[in-house]
Amino acid sequence: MATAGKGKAKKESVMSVTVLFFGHAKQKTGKDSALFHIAKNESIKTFREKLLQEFPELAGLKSSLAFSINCEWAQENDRLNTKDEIGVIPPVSGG
Amino acid sequence: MTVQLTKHPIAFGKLLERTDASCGAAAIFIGQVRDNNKGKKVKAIEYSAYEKMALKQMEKIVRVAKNTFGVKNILMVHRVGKLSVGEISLVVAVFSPHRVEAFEALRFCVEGIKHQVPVFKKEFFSDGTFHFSGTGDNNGKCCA
Repeated sequence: MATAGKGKAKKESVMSVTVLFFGHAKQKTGKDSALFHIAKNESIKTFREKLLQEFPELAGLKSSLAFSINCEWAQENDRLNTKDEIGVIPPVSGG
Repeated sequence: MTVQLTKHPIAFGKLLERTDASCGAAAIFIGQVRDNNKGKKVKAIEYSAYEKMALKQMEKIVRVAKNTFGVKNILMVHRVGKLSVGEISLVVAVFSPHRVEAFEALRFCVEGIKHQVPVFKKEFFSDGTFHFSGTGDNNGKCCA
């Protein structure tokens, strides 16, 4: 598992979340997962911006990426907690 | 077993054995790998999934469908891995006393899988390129 997004935030205000990549996002990053360090109580919207800074190779997918928190679909204003598992999810196409 | 992801061919005959004598209707959807897409000849499709979330979302769809349509039982099985043209990728079976709610619940379930379940499709074309369904800049040289 790679680590990413350490930034300059003070240690006590930073938390770790596990980020999982799937489908085309997995191929673009070359990773199954990454440990991401972000500010506590960060929103998905802000997380998304930081993710794209950290992984610019995802830029081509940015309009189509969705996110999950602990296996539930996430909205832009949802907040992240310590040890959350975040899925980076390109368009689904089962069936 | 109500929902399942499997790397193995789906033995749908076994899935369709009626388990509730009050059910007079079984509505069944079978998805297969098509031989063409976007004007190109398809050689194979590789399905991958966020398995933990996929199973959770499939269970949720089943729960909502049962509550909404009053059907008795629902089975969903989705393949993962690389499938050849003609192979079965998905089976959904809905068992109900009567046909109307079985048809309605079946459509609800299949559409739910299409839109809410994190399964991903990588299509391999006969010209050596591949394509991830639903994303834009995703054509590439075939790697396999």
